[in-house]
Amino acid sequence: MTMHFIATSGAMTNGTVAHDFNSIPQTFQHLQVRLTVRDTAAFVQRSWFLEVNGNSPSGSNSQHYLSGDGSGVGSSNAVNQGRWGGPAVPAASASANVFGAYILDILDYRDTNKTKTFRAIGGFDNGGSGAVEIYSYLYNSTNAISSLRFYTNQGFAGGSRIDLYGITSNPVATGA
Amino acid sequence: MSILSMKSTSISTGTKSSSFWDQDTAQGAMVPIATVNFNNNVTFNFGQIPQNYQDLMIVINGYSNNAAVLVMDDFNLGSPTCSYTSLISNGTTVTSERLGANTAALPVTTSASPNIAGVNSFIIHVLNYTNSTTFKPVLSRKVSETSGSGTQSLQIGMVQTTAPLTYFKFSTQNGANFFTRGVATLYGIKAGA
Repeated sequence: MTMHFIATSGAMTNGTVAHDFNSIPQTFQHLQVRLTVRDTAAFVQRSWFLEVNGNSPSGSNSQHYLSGDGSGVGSSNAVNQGRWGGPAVPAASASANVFGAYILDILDYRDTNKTKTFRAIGGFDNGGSGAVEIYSYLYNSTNAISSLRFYTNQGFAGGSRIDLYGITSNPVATGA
Repeated sequence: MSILSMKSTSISTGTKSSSFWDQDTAQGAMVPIATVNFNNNVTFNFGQIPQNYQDLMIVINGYSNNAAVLVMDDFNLGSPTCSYTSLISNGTTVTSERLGANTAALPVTTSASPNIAGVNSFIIHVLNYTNSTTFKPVLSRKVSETSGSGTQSLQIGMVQTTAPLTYFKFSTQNGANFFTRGVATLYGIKAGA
């Protein structure tokens, strides 16, 4: 298994509404997305969202999460979703320089014989607030995934960044 | 070039394996940078960390002689404030714990999820570690598994420095607690060709 860089948003300018990864190569086994992001809304905590293949087919996807806020834990689910939504990110009222960090894995993204399962781990710590989370998502389609759109409630704060990687199934071991 | 050193009950030092250099291209975006083979290590560190990766990943699989806490500290040989929020499962309950502000050290095991006397496995990601305008998020997963007990945890930590990270240390906090054997490896995650 080896990991290969595909594309990046680079450091986004303040207020970037969304970042799209289009024409995703169909040559890997899995995808991994690594996010360091923040929202511009006047809140401590907002969310990031993901739409797959331009939200097509729409409205039949589902999600679960397990979340901790430093004192309590919560878990919930949602069905009939057109987008994956909810992972927590810091926003404009959070402490300066704090960004949320997530690692998102998309397994067998180009397999046309099964629906697609996503998993994200991450969160943000604001030195007294914040959340750590495990999120899962079902893209309830057998379509190969060729595009991903990431966005937040209001817009990405300047310096937010999203990197897309491909994971091969070749026999070279990374040790990780 | 020595990029790591170890402090252990039997003092030793190490250098980057030349074989790792040879594998840089073959292994794509995830590149081994340095490794530490434990030999009763109370502390071990990664220094002169290359600044040409997007993220860092540290994989630790260590056999601990005692139940103990593992911390990351001495970031850039300084004392930035650290904090964390964690999610912990012990086989019976799920809890969440927070450390609001801690000077100089970021625990990667918590009071509710300490290292066990046995095998403890960590995968720790430091994202955007070369950025000079943001604090550094540290995302860690940890498992301590024994028959009938043990814990697993997911933690997001924050190191309140905007300086690119060039050095950090891991410590089992005192000389009575150490990794008798096992391995820690530092990887760089490249973004770009």
